[in-house]
Amino acid sequence: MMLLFEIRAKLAEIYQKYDFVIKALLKFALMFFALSRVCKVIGYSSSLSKSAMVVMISAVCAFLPSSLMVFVAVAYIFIQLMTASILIALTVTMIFLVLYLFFLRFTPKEGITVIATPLLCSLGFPYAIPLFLGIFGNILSIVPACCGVVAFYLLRVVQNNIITLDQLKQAKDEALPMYMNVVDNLLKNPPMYVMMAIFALVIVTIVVIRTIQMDYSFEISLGVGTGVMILAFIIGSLKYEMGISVPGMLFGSLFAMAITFFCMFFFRVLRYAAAEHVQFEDEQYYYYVKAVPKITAGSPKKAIRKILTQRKAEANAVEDEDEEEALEAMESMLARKDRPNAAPVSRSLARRVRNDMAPKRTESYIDDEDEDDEVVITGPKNRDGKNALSFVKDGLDKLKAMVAKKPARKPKAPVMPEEDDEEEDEAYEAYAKQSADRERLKANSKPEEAQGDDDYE
Amino acid sequence: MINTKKTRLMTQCAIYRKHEGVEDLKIAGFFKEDFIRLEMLKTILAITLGYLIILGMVIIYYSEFLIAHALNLNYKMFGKKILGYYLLILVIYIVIALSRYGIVYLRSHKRLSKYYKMLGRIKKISIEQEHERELEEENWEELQA
Repeated sequence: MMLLFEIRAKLAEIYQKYDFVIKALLKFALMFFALSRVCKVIGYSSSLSKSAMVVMISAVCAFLPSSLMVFVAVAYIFIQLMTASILIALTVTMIFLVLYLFFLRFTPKEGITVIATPLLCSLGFPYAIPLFLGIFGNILSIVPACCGVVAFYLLRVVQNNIITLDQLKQAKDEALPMYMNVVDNLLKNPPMYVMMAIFALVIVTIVVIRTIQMDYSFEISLGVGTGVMILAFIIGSLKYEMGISVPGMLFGSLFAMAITFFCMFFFRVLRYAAAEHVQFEDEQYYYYVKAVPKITAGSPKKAIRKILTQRKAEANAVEDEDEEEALEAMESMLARKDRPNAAPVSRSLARRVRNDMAPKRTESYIDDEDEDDEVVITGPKNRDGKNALSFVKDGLDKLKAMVAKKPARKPKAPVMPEEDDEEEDEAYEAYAKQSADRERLKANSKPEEAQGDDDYE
Repeated sequence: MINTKKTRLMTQCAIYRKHEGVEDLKIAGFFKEDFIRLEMLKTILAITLGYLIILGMVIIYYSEFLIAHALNLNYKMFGKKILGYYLLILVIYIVIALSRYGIVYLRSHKRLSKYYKMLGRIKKISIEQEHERELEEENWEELQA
């Protein structure tokens, strides 16, 4: 799983670096395949059907907004059909115009869906569209998806009604019946309505379930949406001739689900991971800023603990002694709270205690000098590099620091004048002499009591 | 010295201006009622145009029948039907436009208010910076004197 997260992080990084190029490439690819498909279906204009022309138009569309891409595609279809029949070209264009005026003007940013839907439908893989729109879109995504389905069936009807250019030339005298045939075939087309209904149902199901506040709502909605789609396609194909084989549909739906899940895994990071390039100015500076969104799932940090060899353990014995001393000092410092009259702890000692008691940082390198060293990888840590207990330790340290910083306000112990060692010795000798004389005098004045005591002993 | 807080705020503002800000600032030029009225007018025009296109296509579709029965047709009934359907569609779309553009205006208003708050904070920081700069200049002059 960590490997997947790492791959995702790397992909996000690449996307951040080259987001403009990647978007342009994706748009180019989409437009290229869509126009190539149009050329196959209704490629009546030889000059427009050339691959160089298709590449050029796609390249231009790569840098256009999605709403303009739809207009370019419609214009391309119009010119292609105009070569064959002006009436059919006008009919198709009018239908697209009606779709725009009634529906698409409410969703101007969903142009890519309008282009991708007929493309995927013509490739026999329409199952990914409702799943994808349900996960990444909203309820309004039904509108462009349904418009895409209409566009697909419209081109199909045109393809079925106008087969060759010669037939077209013959049919020029009978333009009205051909027009009527096209409109009839488009409007009296139950599979189109079934497909639109299935798309709408699946999108609504997924959107409703994924907005419920529960764990794995996206995954559950995707699974339920796939199930609903399979059922709806089976019922639809049983009642109407949809030209769908059930095993192919099952496989396609499951494959679409896998693709959507894969995209969900990556896209839910990538969606917000696009870096922003902005420029502005204030009174002092010009700012050229690249704002890169944070990615929380980065590569894991490995904490390495060193287990020392005997040689180093001996060397560190002194440190252990220091630690023991520090512990003793700490205990005495804490005990001082109960005994306010005890002598205050100096700041330097308190600081030393704090440093000694603070959690040691793990080494982030491996010492290659000692071959006997054993390295234990204790696993990933959280973003701050701390585990849960470290917060408790931190709290304890803060408490200790507070205690150390606020010594009890007691009168200071009288400062004794410093004396030389010789003077001290002389004073001690004098004191010992005096005490010995005093004991001797006591012994001479009370001999009976002393004897009595001895007897008793 | 670059003030990081100010830079962060300015970056957020610039990102907003680059994306939603373009549309929001256009919308902010209208009162809510005016904005909804304008959008409704656009919707009515679009629906009328679309309806006329559909009507034209239907007339072409039934042209043979219409020409054949041109003298016997009940034009009043046809006119009523056409107008009735038109009004029905128009009412539906007006309701949709009313709710949709009301929500659009409210959302843009919220985003804009956030944006103006950020601008206010940037201004505050700029004034503080200016004040600090003046103080520094005064101190420097005093030192020189």
